[in-house]
Amino acid sequence: MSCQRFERLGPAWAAGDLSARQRARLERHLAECADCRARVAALQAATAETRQSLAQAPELSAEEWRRVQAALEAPAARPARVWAWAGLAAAAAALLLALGLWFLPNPGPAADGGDDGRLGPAPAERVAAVDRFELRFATSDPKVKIVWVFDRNFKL
Amino acid sequence: MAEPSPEDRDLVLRAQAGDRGALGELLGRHRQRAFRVSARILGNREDALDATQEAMLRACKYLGGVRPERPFGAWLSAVAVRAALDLARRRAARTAVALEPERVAGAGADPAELAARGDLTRTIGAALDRLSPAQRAAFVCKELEGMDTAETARAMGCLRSTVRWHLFEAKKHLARGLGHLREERP
Repeated sequence: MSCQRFERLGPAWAAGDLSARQRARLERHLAECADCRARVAALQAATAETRQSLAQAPELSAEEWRRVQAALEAPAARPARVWAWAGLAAAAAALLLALGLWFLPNPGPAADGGDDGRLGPAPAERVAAVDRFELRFATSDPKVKIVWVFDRNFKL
Repeated sequence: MAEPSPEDRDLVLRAQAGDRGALGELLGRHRQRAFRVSARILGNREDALDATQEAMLRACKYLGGVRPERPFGAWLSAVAVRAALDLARRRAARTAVALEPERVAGAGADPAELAARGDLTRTIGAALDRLSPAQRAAFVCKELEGMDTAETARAMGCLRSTVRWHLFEAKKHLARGLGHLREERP
């Protein structure tokens, strides 16, 4: 195995991911190549020294943890949920608007027979088939479904 | 992979059911680990604190996807790795090394010069300072956090081959910086 080959095996060696066959080939090479032996020793020494140095990691103080907790409690800390509900509400509003326009009575003769073009209450016979309707929303949680039930006057 | 503690498992289940007290306790139990991994990757306290906070926010957001039968601490640690890397990338900065004030002074210095003076702590600091955030993250995950290559790749959001490459390069840079390996000229 050439030193070039060791360079190619280096990443797997560094990560401890050599197969048994690759390891055996590397060991055979190291037995006969002083340069690569020195190189391996250098990498191992640097790794050990750096590990030892980084082992003394700092700790989060109680005050710092309180700051993190405060951030977690802040309303902005739950943007996904807030925006999910905002999006849901916007979708519902748009749907309501569309439905409202759909059921809006056309200008026509008023109940008293006049013809002044005003939007009067919908004649009962025109909406008799729609006494109530429902809006169903699916959520990210399959166990949770939101159902809004309206009467003919769009009252919840 | 290690089994989660029964307490963690119970807390995960309660937190997933909407118990915010359980969520707070769960995050509190593993806060030091998240901070430690962030500090090791980012090298300074303030950035580590920001990354820890971001990791906690992501933990809240993605808690629903956590599997209670897996160790929560390892999962949170991986979240912290990604948060730290994202922070480092956003700031597009080579990380300062200083886990302690005296190492701040070593940041940016020539490791060989410091090594010649026999200042090992600052030499290591300066050598670490020359690593990219990804090289440093690969080193921290593999050499200090006990993650295997697949876990490190998941935490860093890259391929296993990329992790190996970053780790090999990190070790070579450190060996050169610490004077164990001669500088190689192409």
